[in-house]
Amino acid sequence: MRIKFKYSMTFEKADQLIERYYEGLTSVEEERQLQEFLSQADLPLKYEPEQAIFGYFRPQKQNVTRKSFLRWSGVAAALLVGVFAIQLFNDSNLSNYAYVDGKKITDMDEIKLHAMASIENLPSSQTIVEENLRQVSSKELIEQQLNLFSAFE
Amino acid sequence: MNDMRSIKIFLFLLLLTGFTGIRSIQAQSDLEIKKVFDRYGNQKGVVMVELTGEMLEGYDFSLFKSLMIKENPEAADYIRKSLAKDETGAKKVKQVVANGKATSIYLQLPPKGKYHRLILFNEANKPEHVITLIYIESKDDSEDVLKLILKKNK
Repeated sequence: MRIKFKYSMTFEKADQLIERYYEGLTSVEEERQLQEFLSQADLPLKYEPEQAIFGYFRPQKQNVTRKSFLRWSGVAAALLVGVFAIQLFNDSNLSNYAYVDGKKITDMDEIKLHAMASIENLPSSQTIVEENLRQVSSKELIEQQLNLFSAFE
Repeated sequence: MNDMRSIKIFLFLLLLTGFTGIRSIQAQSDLEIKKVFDRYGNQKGVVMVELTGEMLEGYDFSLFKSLMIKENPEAADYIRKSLAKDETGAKKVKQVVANGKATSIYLQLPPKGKYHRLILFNEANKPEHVITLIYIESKDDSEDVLKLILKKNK
């Protein structure tokens, strides 16, 4: 039975090529083969220095990190969109209502009537001014009365 | 592994910021009067209204909440205490005091984001005891909103 080697060349061949590479004896074709070999994932750790020289080690790790980042960003974005959508749905459904004696009312005309009634309950500017004037007159009255007593000093 | 951990922490913080943003949309959530609406809104003898998006005729409010409570002097005291807390940093536009108690308080709250906020409280004894509490959020200047309300009430 023949076992298929999962890398593009045997480790023995790769070691030979690497040795030739360091000695400056490799041809263009051999360097291409070496590049192809070193760009593969899951190589034994002993090839790490050569992978770094051929520029595969670092970029590969960054690529994995970037992929994870994108995946998790996608999950976070989807969650945020979901939450905003639920929030908007709730707002549009629950925000216009009235409770009268604990009973919920959703009829817009009736809700508006109750809203207007509450605004009308507020004293107008004129009423406030009158009320304040009444306070002032009371204070003046008290002061006048106190002045009467001060005359006895 | 450390990179993955950093990414997860970063994304968790991003989500947290998002949720906080959503909460801050509800500008009245930081106010004491929110408790008043929660406490009395569903009780008997009370009318509570909340309007958003749909505008009241003649008024340009982003949010309008009101409470009308009948024959409940205790509620008036509770609201006065709540307003005393919400007064911090707010401008008291108008106040009427009768027999040592504030019967009308109009507060202009510091804007939250693009929204100007107003709290209007009134306690009337005649012909019946009625408390009115209104909370308004508007993109318009709160002083203009207040003028409009008082003018329309003449």
